[in-house]
Amino acid sequence: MPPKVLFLTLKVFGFTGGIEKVCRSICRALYDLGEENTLEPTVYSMYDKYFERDSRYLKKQQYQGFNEHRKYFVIKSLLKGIRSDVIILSHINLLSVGYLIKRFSPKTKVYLIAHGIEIWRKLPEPKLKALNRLDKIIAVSHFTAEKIKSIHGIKAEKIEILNNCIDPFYFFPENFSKPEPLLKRYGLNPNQKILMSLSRVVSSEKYKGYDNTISILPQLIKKYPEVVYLIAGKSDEEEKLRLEKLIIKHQIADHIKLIGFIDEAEITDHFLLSDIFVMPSKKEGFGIVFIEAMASGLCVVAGNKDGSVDALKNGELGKLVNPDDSNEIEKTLNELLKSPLDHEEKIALQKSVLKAFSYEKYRESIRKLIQQ
Amino acid sequence: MCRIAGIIAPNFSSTQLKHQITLMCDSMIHGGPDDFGVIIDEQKKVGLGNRRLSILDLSSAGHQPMFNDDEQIAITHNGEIYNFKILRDQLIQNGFQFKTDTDTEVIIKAYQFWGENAFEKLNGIFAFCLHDKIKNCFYLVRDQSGVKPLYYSNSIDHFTFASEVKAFEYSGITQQPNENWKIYYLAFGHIPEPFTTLKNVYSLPKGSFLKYQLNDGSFKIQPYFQFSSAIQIIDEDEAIIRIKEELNKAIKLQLISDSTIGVLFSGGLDSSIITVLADTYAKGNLTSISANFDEIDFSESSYRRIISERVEASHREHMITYRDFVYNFDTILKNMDQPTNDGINTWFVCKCAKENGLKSVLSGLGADELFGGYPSFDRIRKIQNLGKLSKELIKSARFLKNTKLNRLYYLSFQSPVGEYLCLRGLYTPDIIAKLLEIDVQTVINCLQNIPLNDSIRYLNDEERASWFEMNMYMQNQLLKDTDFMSMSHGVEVRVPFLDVNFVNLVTSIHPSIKFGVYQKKRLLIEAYKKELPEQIWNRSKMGFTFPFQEWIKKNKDISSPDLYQNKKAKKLITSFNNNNLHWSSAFALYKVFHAS
Repeated sequence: MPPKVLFLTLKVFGFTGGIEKVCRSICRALYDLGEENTLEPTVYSMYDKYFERDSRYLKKQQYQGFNEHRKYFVIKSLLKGIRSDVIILSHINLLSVGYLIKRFSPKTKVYLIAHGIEIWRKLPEPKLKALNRLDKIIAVSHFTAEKIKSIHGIKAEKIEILNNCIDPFYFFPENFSKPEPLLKRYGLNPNQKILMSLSRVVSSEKYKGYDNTISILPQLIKKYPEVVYLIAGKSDEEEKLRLEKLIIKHQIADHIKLIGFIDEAEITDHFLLSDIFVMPSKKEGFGIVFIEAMASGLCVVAGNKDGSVDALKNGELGKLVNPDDSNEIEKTLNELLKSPLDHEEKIALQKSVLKAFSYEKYRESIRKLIQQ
Repeated sequence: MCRIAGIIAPNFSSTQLKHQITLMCDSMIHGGPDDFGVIIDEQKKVGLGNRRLSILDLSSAGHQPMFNDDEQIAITHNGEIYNFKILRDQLIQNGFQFKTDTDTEVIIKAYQFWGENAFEKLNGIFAFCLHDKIKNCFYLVRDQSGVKPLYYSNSIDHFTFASEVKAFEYSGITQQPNENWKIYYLAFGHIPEPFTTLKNVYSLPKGSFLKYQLNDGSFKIQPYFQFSSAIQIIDEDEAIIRIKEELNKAIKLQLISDSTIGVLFSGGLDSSIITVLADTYAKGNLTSISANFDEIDFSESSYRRIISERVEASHREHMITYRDFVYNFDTILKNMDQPTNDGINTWFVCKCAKENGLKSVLSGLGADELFGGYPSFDRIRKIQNLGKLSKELIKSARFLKNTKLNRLYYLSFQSPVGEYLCLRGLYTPDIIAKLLEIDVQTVINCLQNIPLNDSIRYLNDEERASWFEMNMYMQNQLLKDTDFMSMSHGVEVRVPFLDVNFVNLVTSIHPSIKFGVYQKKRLLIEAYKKELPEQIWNRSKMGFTFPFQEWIKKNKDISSPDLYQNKKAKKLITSFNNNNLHWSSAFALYKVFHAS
């Protein structure tokens, strides 16, 4: 009998953040491993609606969305969990459910995925106790692993590092030219230098670093008068207003575009449109967006004080900068704008990223994890 | 296979005629990329145009429009005559000589020899215009199963025809929009024949010809063929033998081509039968084309593998993704000659066929309608019984929340159109009225006045369902969509299940052996059980379905409620986003409000 694996999540399909992206890749890995009879997967999602499943990632009968019915989710998870061999918790907020399953069924292995800021802060004693009872904590980056060790005092042998991967359905371009329809849509010409960031543009997540990029833009404009910065991502009104004021303050309205949410189908093309992906963030657990940008041959500038270091393989794949040092960011952007990647270099970058962070590699890691 | 157009306008100069016909043909260039021709009878001001997709006799000898030897008869033809070699031999025996190897020349000479009786001798998919200068008339003729489209428009000064409705916009003759098209579309999901989106443009009925007298401008439409309705086969074994015999014949005949041929292969029962049979005759010279998806629920590749391993045909599987959907959506809408809720799937698989160098493909279309593959065959008895209830009681169904039950309202109609709409309709009259901001009675009157063939009155149960599926759903939606979507890539779709002799045979089989109570398409399964592995015939029907429910929901350019100003539309789209409405209903809203 293949081991029964229960993957408990908060949201998988109803939201498009980094954690949800990780959950989707895990779902597909569980599905693939299920198809070859390595395991028997079930996925429960506390907040997703039953119909929100994206059928690329797993079968209907392998998934249940509980539509915010938390109590029902907990009861079902307990009942299913004690009859499962492995439990994967997608988020620390599910720790108590995992802990209860472990209490009732000590032989069931319970693993927690540790992403980023959600686990970097101090935890109350009961949670810490529960954390210690887990069989394994899977950190998405070395940075997160170090935080777990230093803040929560978890032993190194309990922590395993599993870097995130490129989405199994990510569209890998073969041609790196700038897509005409997008140039037309944004009124840009093919020779214009384009910087881009992609993140939620919300008041609660200012750590993404776009403020720094905005502040150095006037300097860049002096050297590259046509440079444009595209800030992509769903925004809330408050943050949008703040950014608009900032743009007026710096007098760079002609050089900056808030382009909002990008449909999944157009993500790759937006990376192709750009010359540099710049997001000197401070609180990334890993930063899937970096590896996806690089998978489109786009050079990346990221912060050196968080999980981004893993995504850029310690600077091997892109430029790591001090996110608090505007001069360093500006200097790096200038260097990159001066010597852009040629076609061969883009192919090489794409290949390196794929080698390090392919979905296939990720699936094999999940296989090993379950079979341990 | 081509695109045809023509104008008869005594008031037009010859240059003007030529110009307008060229424009009409150019608007359909996708369906005839290989050659172009236009001829003008300067005296009668008859202009015929043709855009050619060469499949038979690839040489310039197949150039169209084509004349007979003394140039008294001219023809512009769209389609294939599968039995043209047999007819050619008969005509040669009767003293005719041929200059080309085309089926078009056979039509001309068959007409010369048999006159109007020639039309019913043609076995194929065709629509043509034949101008007889001696009799001073011309004919528009459409095939028996209505596979190839033919539209016409008549006014005091002009008569125009074309393979696509959009070509009429280039005729130089002002066309008014049909005010009712949105009502039809929101009720049916397509525009039912004979209507179109243009007020004075009509579809010629299948198995009919239109004869136009050039001396007085009068015309008459008359049927030249009707499928037999008399039951002749009551023994199952005999039915099975005959089915195999006729389908084999049809497939053998339809493999005729001077260019590469393929088969659209989904992995379902019907396309598996076609693939296996065609493979026997094609002797390795066949390519099967399939669409595959990342979406697990929609992938039939495991079923296809079972068949692919058994046949010699080379198999091509194309992955169609959400990205492909988004990037091609606008083009697909442009290629949609008439509004429809279907055909996007055909557009994609024919694109794949084209990319594999195919010009002709066989399809399993028609088997569901003939042998009872749809849920309507199960529901028809209930619908018939409900129809006996008081009309007032039935009308109250519109207050029900469930959209399927909502459609019971249509049973209050006097016309059998109501039954069809109950089985397959999109929106009920009250919703349509709110969407279009018109009076509900206008909607009801418009729908009740759709003309239906009288033969429906004498049919019951599964035969009645089959009639609806064949003559309404398939005729008005499937065949129409398949034609313009495939031809937008210059690919011809052939439909062996709709071969005239095969359909005639199936309609003569007693319904008690044709339709199974517990198993859909029972007789067809019994006939091919030995040729096909059990996994293929003993599986639940999936249909030719794409993940549109997911794709449309994900694409906010179609499904965002903010796009819809109309209150009802906004509410319906929200309901779609909450998974309470089928994608086809949501797509219809997009088409009506944003793409028309």
